[in-house]
Amino acid sequence: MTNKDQLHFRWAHMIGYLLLFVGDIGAFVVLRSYFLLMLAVVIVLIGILSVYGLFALAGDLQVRIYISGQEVIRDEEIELQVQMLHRRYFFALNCLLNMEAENIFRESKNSWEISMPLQPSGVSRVSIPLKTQYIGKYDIRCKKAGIRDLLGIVEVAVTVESGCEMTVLPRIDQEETLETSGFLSGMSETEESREKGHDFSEVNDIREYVPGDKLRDIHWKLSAKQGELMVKERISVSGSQMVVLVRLSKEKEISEMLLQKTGGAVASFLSQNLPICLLIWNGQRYEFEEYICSDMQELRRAFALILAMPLSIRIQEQQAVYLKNSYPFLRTYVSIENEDSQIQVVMRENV
Amino acid sequence: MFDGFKETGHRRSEKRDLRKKQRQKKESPELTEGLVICPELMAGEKRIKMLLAKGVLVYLLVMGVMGAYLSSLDVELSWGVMHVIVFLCSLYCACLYYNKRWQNIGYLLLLAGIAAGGYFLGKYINSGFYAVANDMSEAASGFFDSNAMRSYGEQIGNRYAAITISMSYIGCICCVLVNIMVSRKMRCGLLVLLGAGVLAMPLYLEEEPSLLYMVMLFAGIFSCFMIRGNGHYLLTFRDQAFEWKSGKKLFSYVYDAKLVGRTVICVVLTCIIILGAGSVVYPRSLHQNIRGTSALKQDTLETVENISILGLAGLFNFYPNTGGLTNGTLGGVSAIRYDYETDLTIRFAPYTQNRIYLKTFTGCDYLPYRNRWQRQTDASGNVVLERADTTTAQMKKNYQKNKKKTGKGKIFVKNVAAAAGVYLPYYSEETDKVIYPGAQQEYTFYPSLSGKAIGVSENDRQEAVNDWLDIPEENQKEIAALCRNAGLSDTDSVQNNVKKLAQYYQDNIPYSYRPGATPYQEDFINYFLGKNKRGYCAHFASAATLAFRYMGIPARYVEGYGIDPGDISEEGTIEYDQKYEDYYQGYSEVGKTAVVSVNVTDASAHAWVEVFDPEMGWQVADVTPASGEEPDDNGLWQRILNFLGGGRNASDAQDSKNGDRTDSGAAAQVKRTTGYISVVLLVVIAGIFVIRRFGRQLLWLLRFYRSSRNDRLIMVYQRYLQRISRRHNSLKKHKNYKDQLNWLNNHGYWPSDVVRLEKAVSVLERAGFSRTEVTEEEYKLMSQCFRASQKRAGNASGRKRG
Repeated sequence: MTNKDQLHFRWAHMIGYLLLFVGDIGAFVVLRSYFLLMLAVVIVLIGILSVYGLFALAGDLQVRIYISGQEVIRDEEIELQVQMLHRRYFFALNCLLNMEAENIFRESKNSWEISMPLQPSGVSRVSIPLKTQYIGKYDIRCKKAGIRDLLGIVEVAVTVESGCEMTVLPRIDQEETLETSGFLSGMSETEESREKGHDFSEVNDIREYVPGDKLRDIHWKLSAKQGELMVKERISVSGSQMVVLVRLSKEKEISEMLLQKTGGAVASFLSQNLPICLLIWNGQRYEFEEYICSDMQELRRAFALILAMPLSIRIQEQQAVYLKNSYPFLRTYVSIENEDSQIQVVMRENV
Repeated sequence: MFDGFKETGHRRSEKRDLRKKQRQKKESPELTEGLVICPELMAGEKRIKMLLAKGVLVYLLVMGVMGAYLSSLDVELSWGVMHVIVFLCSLYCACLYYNKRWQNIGYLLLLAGIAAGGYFLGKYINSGFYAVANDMSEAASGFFDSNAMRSYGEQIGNRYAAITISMSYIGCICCVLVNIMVSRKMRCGLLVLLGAGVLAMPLYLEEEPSLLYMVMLFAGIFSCFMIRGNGHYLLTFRDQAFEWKSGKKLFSYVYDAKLVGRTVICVVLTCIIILGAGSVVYPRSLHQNIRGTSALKQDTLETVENISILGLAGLFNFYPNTGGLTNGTLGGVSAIRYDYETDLTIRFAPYTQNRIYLKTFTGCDYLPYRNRWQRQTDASGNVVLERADTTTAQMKKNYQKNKKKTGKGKIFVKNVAAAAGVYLPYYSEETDKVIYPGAQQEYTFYPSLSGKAIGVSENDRQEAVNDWLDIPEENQKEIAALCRNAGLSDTDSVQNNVKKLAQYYQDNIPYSYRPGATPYQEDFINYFLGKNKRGYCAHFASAATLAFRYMGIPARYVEGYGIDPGDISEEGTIEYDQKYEDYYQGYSEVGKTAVVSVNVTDASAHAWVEVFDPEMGWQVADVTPASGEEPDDNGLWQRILNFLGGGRNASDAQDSKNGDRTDSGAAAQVKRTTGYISVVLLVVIAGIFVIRRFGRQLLWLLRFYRSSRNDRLIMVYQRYLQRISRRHNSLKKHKNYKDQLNWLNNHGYWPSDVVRLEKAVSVLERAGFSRTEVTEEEYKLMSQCFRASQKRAGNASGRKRG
């Protein structure tokens, strides 16, 4: 908060009030009645009190917006709470908050208003029950508050800055129908068949052989030198990590379905303790964003970051080309894409 | 024939799903894409609290206005009882809006309660109302320093109880009316105007309301203004604390009962503080001392005084300044009042200790039910000019013969503000000397002072008998009763009959300045003698004229001025430069006096009778009794009864004539009339309800059954469209059948699975524009579609039915 920036007279009510005053004064001039004199005094003083109260409220007003969850799943019910705070003993029967709600992912923004009363000295709140229908990152914000005086003759618009954000994630259910073993074996065969040292793994350490280690990991030269079997301990870059490329569509509904499918597929992989590297195009930075997900928590975080950017920057027709250029050593990846309005999860070679 | 248009069940279910989605979208307003409000999860409204807050507001307003009015007049009543009754009634009235069913039942109960109250307590209500009206009259009387204000009969001896009951009853009715304005629309402007109207008169009369009611009234008005100025007071009956206004994209609270209550309390406290401080800093007593009277008020005093005496008729009041002089027109006013302004100035030498009369109108024929006296006319109906009668000639002759106790005088009459006419003293031959306003005339007269026979010829007597004995048939009965009751006799002397009648009047029929106007279609004399039994000079003189004629005594109805010796001695101015001899010669009852000038005001206007004495000739017979008021005045009520046709019937009238005017009769009358009013009100309300509820439908059905099949189809279609367009303004934009049906189809209202859209357009266009009649089958199918669509429309609206 806050600076007062606008004063607006409600002429119809003001004229009504002035007519009451003028009529009373006119009657007093003729009748010289004590009753009419007192009425005139009351009209003036209540008018002054009402306007004074308005400015007192405007100078001390704060607006806060809360939402019941930062990350929620689609179709969940949530509650948006708008609070107005001040420490004055005055109150207002009508405050108008100019609100703005935006779905950043879907790039849609709407303005609307909340009319609520302002209780004296404390917090006035309004709770709005909401339901999320689409995934995305939502930004709800209040920029201006209009307060009307008690008599309804003057309004002051106050600039306030308050807002809250919320991410609506797709409901991630493990894809029962997705046959992950095919992807895993396919990838293993593809990768393992390649010459040693050209898979997407790196040697991290050398240690003594432990029964169960693969033969191909034995460091024969060093074993010969040291007289005992030594093995190369590998840390996987991609060997035990599935690369999943999400190719979003211009169609919002299809993109939503793609992300839904992605969630399901990744959950399936994660359930087999297979870490996933999610790749998604970022048109702003003109590169793929990488999200390593080794558990559901990381997956949700990844989704939150994906949904925080507009859909339009995720669209790129030439993603396959860019992927080849950006990841020349990547041989295969899982592509989640739209083919003739059918969402499909396919294994593709990075060629 | 429409089989080809029917679609498969699968397609139908798809469309149904689509429509369901559309409806859901409409019912769940969207803040942005994917974020919708769930109306079903919104908090409920606290309706009863809001209704109670409105009830308190109604109480403040009603009690504020009524209390201010009554306290300003210092009316004595049980304030506590009135407060409790009005408070409870306010709450009841406000709670009528709890829901629609209770609204209907509650209003009926309220109406029944009001009718029952009116029926059983009618007498108290009536009496209490009159008591307050009398208090207002008293205040006006004190303010205007006038004794001629109207007063109404208070039938109940216990004034305190009557006023309490009456004002509580009126307060309840006010609660109903104010509640409609407050609960529905918060019409504070209208309330201010009504309050100003009620309080205008006490404030004009410089009667100030008490501080308590000022606080209540101000608090009520300002609270109402504030709540209206900020909106959020209407009940929605949707049981939601907030509502989404899609047109304005506004999520608005419906109302906040707690804050409305706080508003009222704060305004009450603020008013208490301001008025309390005001009364300390600038007390009312100080204001009363220095208030003065504005010039504007001075200018309106006369008009307001007239209104306070005569009601709205006072605005058209041409009567008061001429007092009782109406040129024979009777019964047009309910009361007489004097402005004590000078009408005539007379200059003469006093010669008698009796009242001096100046005659200006002589009535010959009484016109019953038209309620006026007409001057003497000839055979062709033309008015005969007044001429000096034989009595005057005889007086003059006696004076000229120097008989005892005869004299000759001159009187100068100046018309200051009276109507143009002859103001003739007794007995003068100068009947043609008209005095116009501002002019002056000199009359010569020969007074009758001897009290002896003057020698009237047989011809004169015969002439009097011929011309002055007519009694209208319509008055015979009442006049006969009067003569019988007064003991008049045709064998008795004229003077004795005059004395008997005067005595009878004095004993039995009181003089009243405010007897009430003669009701419509009542005869002035019959009403006076048979029902009202009170009146002023014109009543007594008119009845007496006919009574004397009934006894065979020729008599005339006369209007003019009667100047009492007291007025002359008190108000007269001695004209020192005038010689007595120039004004009077001959015998004088008071001896030689100074010449005096007297201002004759409208208070001296009078009506009396001239009777023909066979020995004395035409003599003044003034039978009007001395002034005296009686509180038992039923004028207004009687007028209302007459207006409603609930006045006394023939037997009641007979009882009245017999003097049997009992209270039980009046009470029965009150009950009967209240019953009539209740029945009429109920019938009117029921009629309005039926017309409002079913009038249009009945008309529509009438038109429908008179129409051809094509017209019927169009009528049904139009009604169907109207119902949907009540919820969808966008439908109104479409003016042709095709667009309309397209719209309906797009919004899920048209069952295109039953009738294809193109076919429907074709059938409607044929019905609307072609002479070819649609087939019975087409008509039935289309009607079926409309009915099905209407059901969907009802469901889509989300309105709870029943």
